[in-house]
Amino acid sequence: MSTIAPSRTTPDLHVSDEELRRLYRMMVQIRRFEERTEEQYTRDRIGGYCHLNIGEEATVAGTVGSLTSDDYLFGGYRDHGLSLAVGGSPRAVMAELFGKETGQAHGRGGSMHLLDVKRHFLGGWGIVGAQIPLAVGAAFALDYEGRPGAVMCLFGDAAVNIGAFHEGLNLAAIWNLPCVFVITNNLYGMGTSVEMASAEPDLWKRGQAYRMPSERVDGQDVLAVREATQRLLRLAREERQPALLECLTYRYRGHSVADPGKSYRPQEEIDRWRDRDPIVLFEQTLRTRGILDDAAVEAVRAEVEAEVQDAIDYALASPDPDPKDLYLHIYDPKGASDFDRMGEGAPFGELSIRGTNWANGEA
Amino acid sequence: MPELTYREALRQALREEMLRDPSVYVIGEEVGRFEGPYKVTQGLFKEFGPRRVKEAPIAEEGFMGIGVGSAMLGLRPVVEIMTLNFILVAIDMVINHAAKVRYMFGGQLKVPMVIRTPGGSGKQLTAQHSQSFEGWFANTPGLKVVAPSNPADAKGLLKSAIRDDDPVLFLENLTIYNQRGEVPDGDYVVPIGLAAVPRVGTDLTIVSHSYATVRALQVAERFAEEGISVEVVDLRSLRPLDMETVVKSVRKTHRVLCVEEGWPTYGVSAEIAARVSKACFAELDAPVERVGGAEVSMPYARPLENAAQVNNEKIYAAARSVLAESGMLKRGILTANR
Amino acid sequence: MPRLSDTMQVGTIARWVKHEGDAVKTGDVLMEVETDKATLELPSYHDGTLAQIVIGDGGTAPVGTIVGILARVGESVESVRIATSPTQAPPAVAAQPPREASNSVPAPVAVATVATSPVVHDVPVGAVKASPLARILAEQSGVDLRTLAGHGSGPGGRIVRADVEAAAHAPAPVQPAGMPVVSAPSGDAFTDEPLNRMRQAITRGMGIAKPGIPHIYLTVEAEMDEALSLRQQINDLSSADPRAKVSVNDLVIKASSLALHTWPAVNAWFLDEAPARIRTWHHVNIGVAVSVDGGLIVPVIRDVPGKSLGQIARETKDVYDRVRSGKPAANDLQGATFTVSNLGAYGTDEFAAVIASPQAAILAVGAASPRAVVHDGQIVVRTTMRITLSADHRVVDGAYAAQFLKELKRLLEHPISLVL
Repeated sequence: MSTIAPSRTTPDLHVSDEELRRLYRMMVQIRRFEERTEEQYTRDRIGGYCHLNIGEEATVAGTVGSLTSDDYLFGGYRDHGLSLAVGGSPRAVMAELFGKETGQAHGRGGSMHLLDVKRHFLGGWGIVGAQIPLAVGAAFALDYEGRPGAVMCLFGDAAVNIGAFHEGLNLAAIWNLPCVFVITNNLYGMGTSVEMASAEPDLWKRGQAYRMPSERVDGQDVLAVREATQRLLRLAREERQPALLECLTYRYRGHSVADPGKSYRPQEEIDRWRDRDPIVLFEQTLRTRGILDDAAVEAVRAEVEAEVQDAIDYALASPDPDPKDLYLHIYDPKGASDFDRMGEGAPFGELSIRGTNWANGEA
Repeated sequence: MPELTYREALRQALREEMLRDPSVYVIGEEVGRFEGPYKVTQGLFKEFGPRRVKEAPIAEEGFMGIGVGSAMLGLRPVVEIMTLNFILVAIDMVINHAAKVRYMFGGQLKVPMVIRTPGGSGKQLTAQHSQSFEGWFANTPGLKVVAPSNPADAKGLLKSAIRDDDPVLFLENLTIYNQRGEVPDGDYVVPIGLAAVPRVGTDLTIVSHSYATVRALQVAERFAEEGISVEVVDLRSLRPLDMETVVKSVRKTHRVLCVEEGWPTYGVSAEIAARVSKACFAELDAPVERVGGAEVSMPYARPLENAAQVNNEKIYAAARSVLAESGMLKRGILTANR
Repeated sequence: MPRLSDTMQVGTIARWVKHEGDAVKTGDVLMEVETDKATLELPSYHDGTLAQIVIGDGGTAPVGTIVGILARVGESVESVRIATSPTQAPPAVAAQPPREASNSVPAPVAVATVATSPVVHDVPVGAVKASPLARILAEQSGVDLRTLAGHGSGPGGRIVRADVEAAAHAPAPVQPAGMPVVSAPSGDAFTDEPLNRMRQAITRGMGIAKPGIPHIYLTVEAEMDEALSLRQQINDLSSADPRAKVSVNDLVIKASSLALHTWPAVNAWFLDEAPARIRTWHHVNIGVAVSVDGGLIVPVIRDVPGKSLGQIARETKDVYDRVRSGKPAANDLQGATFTVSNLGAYGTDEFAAVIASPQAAILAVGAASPRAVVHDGQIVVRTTMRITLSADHRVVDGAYAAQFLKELKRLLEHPISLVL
């Protein structure tokens, strides 16, 4: 990628002070939450894959922070920030990372499968790009029932080369479904650069093949992201016109906590992106506009620090899921009786060695 | 009771459910103006319009995903996949998504979706259009899989599937779309998870589903002429699996033959055989036998295709081998040559 | 381990008569083997050198195990030896084959390898091929699956439900306690015939009323005055040789053999394996039930019709002596085609004996005593003897058995036939 210059930026200076402070706090919260998450991972309190949003805070806050209560959100597996940005409880997010019963998915999903049904966040999803058709389906449901609102679907730069992306965008376009597709382009799909992966590295152009409004925005500039997102959401909600937004951003850490993120990209590149840190940039803007001062910054940081620490304490103190509930949620509990005649190995019971009564002829 | 074809019974169930519940919609390739690739949805587009009969382009993963996503928001999609073979390009949506949603999110979301698709082989449809891998889906927790073998069950099970709050793979069959049978009028519902015993017998149990049941019944008739009494257990539902009915039958006949159109290795019959061997170990007078499609890619040439498909001769021969295993040949109950 | 009786599954080497390195001629006794019945000598069937003793004195092994290796003439002793653990007998493999020579060197001969038919009682039930259902039914109905082993109607003789049900209705024949099983040395002539339809029907019918061997009993009373007189004359003539002294029983044996010759269907075995068949013997070997301390043995007198009363008397004593001394010859206890049991010496007037399977008949002989009989309307005193034939109805019918008995009675009452 020769340039990180966005195709268009439209700084919106007509945002209320309160909204600016909300976005700032959101970004600081995501940053600190992810830093402490990484620490918890190293302390073996978090298992599995763990993908962090550090560096991408402006993109997350600018897009997700623009949703209303009528809208729905689908995301990929780099989803901690998404769940925080919809206003979810840091406690429930951290507890899910810890695999606790109090987590957002009751310890069944983990880092990649956060959700917040109440706030219309319908999932972190683990298969690259596969959430795109689901999001289109949600948009279909909104349209089918004539509901207001739109669906936002976040995915990474690597997802644009997968079939589900093209099928999803095409279906949304031919059926005029209210869906905004957001590419969080952090320049690498794991260790594979966009230039290596995509014949057309200007990913936003992919949307033009489906005749939908498509644009690129500076993903480090939260206000630019917010402005573009709101415009496209409005289009989706009001004109049933799907759209594609590409946010150019960067992840400071590796693909996941287990990846140092050094072998496939030069240190110089990382340093250059750090020089345009989205939180620093936004803080400068707010200080310039007199919305933030040292005390206010310190207050936000202290508040977030306490909040994240509280989330960790809460997660630590929370109960593990009970193994006796292993088979809970596989099927509708009402349908459990369908399986009564299946005998051992049915999804409501252990595949037993002795077998059920009738299987042993004891009944 | 009116007599309908299998396809008419399906259509009746779809129409009645669409009338009953506005959240039910049909989506798939050629389901609208084309009136369905196998004419199951004939007339529905005219009656319900393009909103509820959604004509999808060839993009199985895309519209399967739409089914899942819309079901998560409360709709009841009936996704038609033209044949089971094409579900492979959408299998990620079925296995990784539809089947996982409820569990992965701790029971907070559900996917009340039906996937209708015909399996089985037809006449010279060849390798990519003649498959029966329903066992793959029945292997997956979170999915339900049903496979009716007659028009009445087709109607009753489809209604149950549409009303079910979990994703249901509803397996139809190309060969039996034209089969006729009595179908109860009105709101006829067959519960998921119940096998049927369409023929009662004492000497041998044949366990089958879908088209294999039709064949099993024909073979049972032939045995009846030879004085041998064959019981047929039609599974109807592969997951959940009604082992109670299977076990009850085996305890009576002490001999089992499993028949499926698909490849038997790791298949439906493998599951039945394993479960029967355990649940009925002390009841078996002969090893469990099974018949499935030849484990080749379906060839085109007629003689090769005939050799690869399950047919009545193969079922008959396998049934005889089970009977012989328990000594009926040596004791003169079976004739040595037929 | 040589198989030396029908029921033998395991044998113990009582003593090796030959030692490693000894030259052996055909017929030389190689070893003495203790079986469940007796200690028997095993002769060599080949010339050669005893190359190796695999199982030494006191060692026990199942039938079929290699107990020693004989190098044939011209073979190197070293080349035929097999590796053995110093402390352990080789695994008890039934019918372990002799080593095959890989080139033109003559193959070494295992001392004893016997192709065993399935032996019954030491085989664990679990090793019997049977369907799971058959096992459960057998347990419930008290059928010993081992008695059906290999003879089920399933593939490879697997026992299935129907076999157990049939056995439960007609339990497999059980050996009477103490009654030795007889077996015939190979080479004796016989005719095997499957059961014809009528015999099948009789077998089925009898099996329902009388499970096991359906015995029928027929009794005649023979006047023995002439026979006793004849016996006295013979014994007077041969008084110099006490071993040639003829007993009443010897007369009965001889008479029975001649009657069997006339009515051969009685001289038969019923082989109760699938398919059942009747083996009619072309020769007559008569087992003579003899009581010993704590039991019963049945020495066998071979080819009786061709032997004189004196020969019969001598042989009976010889066999009896060998058996009592615990060193019977291999054929002394097996191969009977018909059995005679005589309790006359104990004063028993009349009794019925239990057939020694697989034989088809047994004769029970009572005491010869003076009794009142009617002759031409006059009551006269005669020495009579009551003889009861127990016959397997699956093999012979009553009328046939009656004709055999009638002939036997005629022979005893006209004993001149016995010395012709």
